[in-house]
Amino acid sequence: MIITKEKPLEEILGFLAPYTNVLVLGCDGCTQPPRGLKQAKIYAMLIEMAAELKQKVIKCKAATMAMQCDNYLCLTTLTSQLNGIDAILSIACGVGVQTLAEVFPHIPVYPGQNTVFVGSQERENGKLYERCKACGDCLLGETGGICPVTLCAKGLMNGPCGGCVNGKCEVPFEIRDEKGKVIKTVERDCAWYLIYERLKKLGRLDLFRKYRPPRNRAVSGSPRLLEVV
Amino acid sequence: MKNIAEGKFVYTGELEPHKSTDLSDVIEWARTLKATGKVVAANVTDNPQSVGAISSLVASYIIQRETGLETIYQLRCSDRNRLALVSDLLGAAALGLRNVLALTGDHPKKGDTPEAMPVFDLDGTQLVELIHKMVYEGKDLSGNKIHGPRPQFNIGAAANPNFKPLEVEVLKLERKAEVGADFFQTQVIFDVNIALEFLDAVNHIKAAFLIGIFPPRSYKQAEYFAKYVPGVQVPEEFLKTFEKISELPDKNERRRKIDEYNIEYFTDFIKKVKKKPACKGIHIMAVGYPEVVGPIIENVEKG
Amino acid sequence: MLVEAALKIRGDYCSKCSVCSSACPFEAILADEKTGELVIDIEECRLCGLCFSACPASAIDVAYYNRDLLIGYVKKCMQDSGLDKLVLRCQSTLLEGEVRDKLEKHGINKFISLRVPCVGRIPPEFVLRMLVLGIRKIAIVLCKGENCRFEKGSNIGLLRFSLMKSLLKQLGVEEDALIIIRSLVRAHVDSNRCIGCGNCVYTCAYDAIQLGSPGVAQINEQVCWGCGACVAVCPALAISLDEFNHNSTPQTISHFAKLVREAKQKNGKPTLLVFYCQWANFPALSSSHNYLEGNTAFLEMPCSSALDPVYVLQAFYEGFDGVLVVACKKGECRFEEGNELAERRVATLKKLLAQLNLDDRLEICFTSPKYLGELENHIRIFTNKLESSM
Repeated sequence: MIITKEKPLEEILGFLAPYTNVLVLGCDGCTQPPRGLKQAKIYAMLIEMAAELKQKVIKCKAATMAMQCDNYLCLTTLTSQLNGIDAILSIACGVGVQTLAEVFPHIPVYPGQNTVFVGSQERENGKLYERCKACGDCLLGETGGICPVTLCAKGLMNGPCGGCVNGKCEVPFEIRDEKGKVIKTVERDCAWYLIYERLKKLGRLDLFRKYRPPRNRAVSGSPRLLEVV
Repeated sequence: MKNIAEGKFVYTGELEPHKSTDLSDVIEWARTLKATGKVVAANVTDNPQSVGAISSLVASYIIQRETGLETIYQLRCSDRNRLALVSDLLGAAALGLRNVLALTGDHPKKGDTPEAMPVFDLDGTQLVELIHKMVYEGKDLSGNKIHGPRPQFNIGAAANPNFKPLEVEVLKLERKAEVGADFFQTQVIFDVNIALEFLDAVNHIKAAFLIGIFPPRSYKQAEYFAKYVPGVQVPEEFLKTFEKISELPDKNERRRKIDEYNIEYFTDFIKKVKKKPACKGIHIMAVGYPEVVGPIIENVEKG
Repeated sequence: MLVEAALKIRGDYCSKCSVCSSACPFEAILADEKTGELVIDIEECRLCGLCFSACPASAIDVAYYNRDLLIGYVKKCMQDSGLDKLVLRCQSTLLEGEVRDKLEKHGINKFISLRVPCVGRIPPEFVLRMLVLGIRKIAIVLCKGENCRFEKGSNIGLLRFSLMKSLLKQLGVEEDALIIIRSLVRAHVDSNRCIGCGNCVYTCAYDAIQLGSPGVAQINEQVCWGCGACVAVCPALAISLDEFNHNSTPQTISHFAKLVREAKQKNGKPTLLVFYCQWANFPALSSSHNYLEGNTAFLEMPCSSALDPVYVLQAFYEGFDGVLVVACKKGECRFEEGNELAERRVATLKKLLAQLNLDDRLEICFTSPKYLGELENHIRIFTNKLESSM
C-alpha cells in the first residue's frame, strides 16, 4: 500500500494556525501505518493540546472515510460533515489530500503525513519496506519477483555491480528523524544478488544471464495519465 | 591495444587526477610509466569512489598529449545520462582518445558529495553496448546516426575475481562480452590462487583479461586492503612480510626492502598468471608509486 | 510503605507435613533440609493458591483469600446497603451480558459483589457462613474452564460448589440459594466499522481471529481469551470487550477526569490515571473494575496489551497530569507476553507525546500481586515526580 510517515506536530500546527474549526480526516483505504478513525481521533486531540500550549484555540473534529482518493465518495460522504469547518487536515496519502482539495476547492486542505513510498509492512518486525517504484515497465517476470528498479540503489538492469560485497549493497538504508537528518544506517541486501539466488533456486539462471538493454525512461516520467477506453 | 591482437603480453597503469585544475603531478607519474617502455597505456579515473575530480575526459587528453602515453579514458554512469555519455564519447574520439573503460560507477552516497542525484541512466554493461554501437554501427542507442567518421575505441569493462560466488561474476562478464567488451581489467588481487581460479573460470569468454595488482607502498596500505576493502584477500605471508619490514628503523631501508619485496612477490605472481591463456596482461595500480612498475616488469621479462 | 509478600506460612499452625511443597507446580515452596521448615520462594510463586487449598492445617495465609477479610467485607456491605444477595466471582469474570441475564432470571438484581483472584480457592463452607450471616442468594461466577489462570481452579470451583449445592438441597435449603454461572470474556467485532486490515488477526496470540470474506474480522468465541490485544491494534475502533471498549471506557475516563479536576482544585495535588492490568494488581475487594482514590483514578484492563493509545491521549487531553501503566512483571503475563507489547507501545507513545513535552508524564511499571504495596509505591514515587515538575 501507500506508506506514509506522520509530519511533525509543529509543522501541522503551522498549517492550522489561522483556523479554528478543523476536520481531521482519516482514510480506511491503506491502513499501514494506521490512518483510520483511531488515528484521526489521536491527532485531533494532539492538535487541540498543541494549540493550547501556544495559547490558541483550535477545535478539531475527527472522522474517517473509505478512500480519500475517490472523488465521488469524498463528495457524497463529506459534504454534510463540513458545516462550520474552515480547514481539513487529511491524514491520508498525497493522493487523498489532492483529491479533497479538488473536490472542495473552497476549503483549505493540509497534509498530516509525508507520503513516502509504495510498499508493505513486515508483520514480524513492523518495518515498512519500499517495494515498487511504479515505473510502468514491470520486469518482475525476469527477475524472479524481485524488483531491481526499487531495490537496487542504482536501479541497474545488469547487476550486481562491484559494490556488492557478501550479498550486501554498498549503500545502506538511511533512517532519518523528522528534520530529515540521518540518525542511523541499516545494511541492506543487494537486489541483484537476491535475484541471482532466487533465479538459481527456480532453475532460471538464463534469465539472470540475459542482457537487459537500457530502459525507456520516458515511460516512468511524471506526471502520467492512463486512459481507459 | 592492438598489441594484444598481436599476441603480446601487455601492462597498463593507473593514474588518479584530483579535484584540481592542476595535472602536473599526474603528468609526472605518466612520464615515469611511459619511460619504462613497457607500459602500453594508463587508466585515467573518473570521480573514483564518487570523490569529485577533474573531468577524466580532459585529463585523459592532456596526459596523452603531454606525455605521449596512451590513456584509457574511464567513463562511469553514476553522473551522466545517455545523452551526456554520447557527447563525451564523441568528444573523446575527436580528442584522439582510443580506449574507454565503461564502468557503472560507485554510488554518489559513498563519496564526498552524497547529496548529488545518482544518474545511472545506463549501467556499465549498457554503456559497453552503447560504445560498441557507436563504433561498429555509427549509431547511438536510440538509433540516431553519427555524422561523419565513426569513433574508434577499444572497449574495456571491469571484472571482479573476488566476487562470491564466482558464478555470478562469470555470468556478468559473459553479458559484457556479448555486447562488445574487448578487454577486461580486474579489481585488485593479492592472492595468486584467486587469480588463477578466475582465469580458468573465464577461459571461454572471448576477451582479453588484464589482472589487476596493487603493490603497496607501506604496511599500512597493505593492511588497509586486508581490513577495509571488502572482498579482497591478502595472504598472511604477504602481510607478515610487510609488517616485519615496517619495523625496520631506517626509512630508506624500509623503502628499499618494500620495493624489493614487491618486485619479488609480483614477479612470481605475474609469471604464474601469464601461463593462463585468458590472461593477456597486467593492470598495475601503483597509484603514486610509479617507480616500482618498471622494475617489476623488467624482472618478469628477465625470465 | 513496606512491600510484603501476599503469601505467608504461619509457623504456629504449620505441621511441616510439606504437602504444600508437593502441591506447588512451580517448586516455589521448599523444605529446609535441617529444620524441615517450609519456606516460600516468592520469586517463583505464581499465586495460584494450590498450597493454600492443599494445606490441611490452614497454615498458609493468602491476603486475597483471608477469611476474616472476606467475611468482614460482606458484613459491612450488608450493613451499608441492606442487600442480601451475594455474587462471588473470579478475577476476570464479567457481570454483563449473559451473566447479567442469568442473575436476573434467578432474582439477583441488586447484590454485593465479591471478587477474588480465583473462586476455586474459596472453601465451599464460605457459602454456609454467608447463609448464616443472612445472605439469601449466592451466585458463583466462574471463568471459563480452559481460560483459568490458576491451575484449573475454575473447574475445581465448579466441582466443589456443585457438591455444596447438592448438600444444601439435602439440608432443605431452597434450590435457588446457590447458583453457579460461567462467564465468558470475549471480544466482539463491529462489522460496520471493520475495514479488514488484518491487524487483529496478526496480533491475536491465540489465533482466534480470521479475516472472513469480504474482509471483515471474525472472532472465534470458543477460542478467544478476552485479553483485548486486538482492541488496541484496531485502527477503526471496531473491536470491543464488554467492559473495556470504545463506548464505556472513554466515558469512564471523562467521568474520572472531571472528578479529579475538582479534587485538584481543592487540594492542589497532581492527578493521575492508572491503567492497570487486572493480573498485575488485585484491588482489594473493589466491586468495580474502575475506581477513584483521591486524585488517582484506576482503570482496569483485561491485559496490559489492551492498552490503547487513544485512551492515553484522552487522559492527557482531559487534563490528567500523569498516566501510569501497570503491567505484569517479565515472565508473569497470564496471556502471551502482553506485557512486552505494552512496554513497546508505551515507548512509541512517549515519542509521540514528546512533541507536547508530555513524554515524562507517561510511565510504565511492572508489578505482581504477590507483593503487597508495590503499586502504591510506584504511584507515590510518580506522584512526587509530577508534583515537583509542576
